[in-house]
Amino acid sequence: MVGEAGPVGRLLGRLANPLAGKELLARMRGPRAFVVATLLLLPLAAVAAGLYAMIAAMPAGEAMSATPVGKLFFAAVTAVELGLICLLAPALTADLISGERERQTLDLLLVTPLSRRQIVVGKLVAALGSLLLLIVLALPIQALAVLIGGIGIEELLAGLLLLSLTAVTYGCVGLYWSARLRTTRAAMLIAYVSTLFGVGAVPLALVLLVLGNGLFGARLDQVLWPLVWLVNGSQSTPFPTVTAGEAAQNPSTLQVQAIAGQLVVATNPLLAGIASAAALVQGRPVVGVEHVASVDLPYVAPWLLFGSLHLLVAAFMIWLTGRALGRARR
Amino acid sequence: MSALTPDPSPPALEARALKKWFGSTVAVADFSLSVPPGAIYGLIGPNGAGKTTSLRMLATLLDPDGGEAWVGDASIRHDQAGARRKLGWMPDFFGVYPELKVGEYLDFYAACHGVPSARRAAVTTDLLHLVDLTHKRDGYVEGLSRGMQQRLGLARALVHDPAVLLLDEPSSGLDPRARLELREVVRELGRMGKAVVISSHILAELADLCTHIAIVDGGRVLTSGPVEEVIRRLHGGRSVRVQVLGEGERLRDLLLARPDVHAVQLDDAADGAGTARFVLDGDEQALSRLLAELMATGLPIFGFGQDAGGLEDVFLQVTRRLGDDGGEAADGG
Repeated sequence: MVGEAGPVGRLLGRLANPLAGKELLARMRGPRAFVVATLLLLPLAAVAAGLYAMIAAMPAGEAMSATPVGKLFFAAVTAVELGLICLLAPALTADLISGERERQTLDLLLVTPLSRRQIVVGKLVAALGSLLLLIVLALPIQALAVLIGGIGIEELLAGLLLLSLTAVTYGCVGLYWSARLRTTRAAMLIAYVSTLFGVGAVPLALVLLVLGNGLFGARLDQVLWPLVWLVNGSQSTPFPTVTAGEAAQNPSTLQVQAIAGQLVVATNPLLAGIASAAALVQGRPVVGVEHVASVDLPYVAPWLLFGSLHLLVAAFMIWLTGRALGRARR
Repeated sequence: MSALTPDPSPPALEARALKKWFGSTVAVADFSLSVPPGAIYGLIGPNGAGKTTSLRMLATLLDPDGGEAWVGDASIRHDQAGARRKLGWMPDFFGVYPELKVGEYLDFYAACHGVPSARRAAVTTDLLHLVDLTHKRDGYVEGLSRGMQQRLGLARALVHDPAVLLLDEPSSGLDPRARLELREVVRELGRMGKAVVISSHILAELADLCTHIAIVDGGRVLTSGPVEEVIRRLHGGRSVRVQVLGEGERLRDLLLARPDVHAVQLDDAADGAGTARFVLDGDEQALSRLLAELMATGLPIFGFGQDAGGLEDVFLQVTRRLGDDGGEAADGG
């Protein structure tokens, strides 16, 4: 069987196309790689050092137990890293195709036998490779939380999954805009707007809803209860205005609301992170049915739903990018 | 027996009635061309004649709206990957990756064209030698002069040893020396048996380089074929140039008196030397007879030859005729 590539070999061969190699070489050559890594690691290290100093400065008597301190540290560092990744992903991807177009090198690639998909994948592998490398570089800072205590390997892995898939998805969004729009400037702008919307819109809407809760009264709780359920667990009583009896009479509405709530959470790395942390603490199953106030609610671990949804979006974006490249021929 | 009749060698590139519209504007109305192997085929036409659009269609960068073309036996519409394997493309302007070195640049494109890694170093070495850039192998592409970048671009178009090369205005923006160097490389490619299609709006540039020409205007190929044949076809004869020391008027009168000479033009230089350009009916023997007869008249002739600048007349003649006809292709882009 020597010389016959299996499916894994073929996939690796496809990913390791010449474009990916050239891009990685170009990215690692010169000061850019160091500047980008510094932009991520410096603020992250500063936040971590600040938090660490605060923890260390606490008088021994008043010190909290290690568990919440470690969790707080991990949550804060991961949230800051998420923000930085969202700033870097468009910057590293929104010039991939439009830059080739502006430099007048795109045609020279299009006349090679490389397919449009190979061009897109080659570019993407290099860009996402450097984004994932940044996440790996920041891993020691995150892992300090394990030393402090209160964070297990599952939480660390879930955090890495959320960060990586956020980087991949918004990297693909940046790539799509760079193929779709003529100039890098426009692609960069729209990529940042898309990322800001994707990461910030749902949490912002939630904050506004909660602030406006007083105006709308109890009716909002009917919409937001799935969030309470996801964070507080199956033992909580999430239906504030629905008695157990009423719930039993009309379970399907509640089930649909539960699914919709989980999907909304899965669209957003911040909410998915909070819900995943809660799920890991509560030891909830990855997939299951939870019996809440006599209603059976379907449940999927937020990190799993987030991962699946984001992989789908990333694949769709890659497909759209290939189409946008083909449009140039008409 | 049909086996005895020699098969004409199949064209390296053939286009039949390619068409392209951009919105309601006709960019290419009818582009047909047959390029034999080893030919250096010049596409001559004014800016906006549709040369670049036609070449981009041949290079599989634009989908034609009509017609068909083949590179070897690969259709540019139905077997683009096959066509790309057989053709090299050099646009009028192209960028380079500033972060790559010259050797890496060629190696990268060779890899994109599927040249096995074991052969890439040798291919790079050979091509750098061909375009005389061996000494720049470890320099950054960005640091090359425009002329060197253009030669490197030509080497890039050759990494996969294509049978057909498409060069769109290759010497635009080059200084005279770089132009000459590029021309030498193109000639060498013709000698290597590659079919080269080269577009230009500067006639003199193509006149002494091309074996074949196609005159393009308004999105149409107005005429095409071997250079001499095109000139003869349009003039009905050969374009000839005679230079005399003084006595230009007498030369003109002598020429005008001959039935086999047409379209005599006399340019008088300030120092008394005159150049007569005209069209002669007939072949090389007629040319030789004319020279002998002129010498016999005792005219102080110091130059006699076929006029390469005849392309210019042909071009003006062909495009003017189209304008007089009021052809619809005049709105070409």
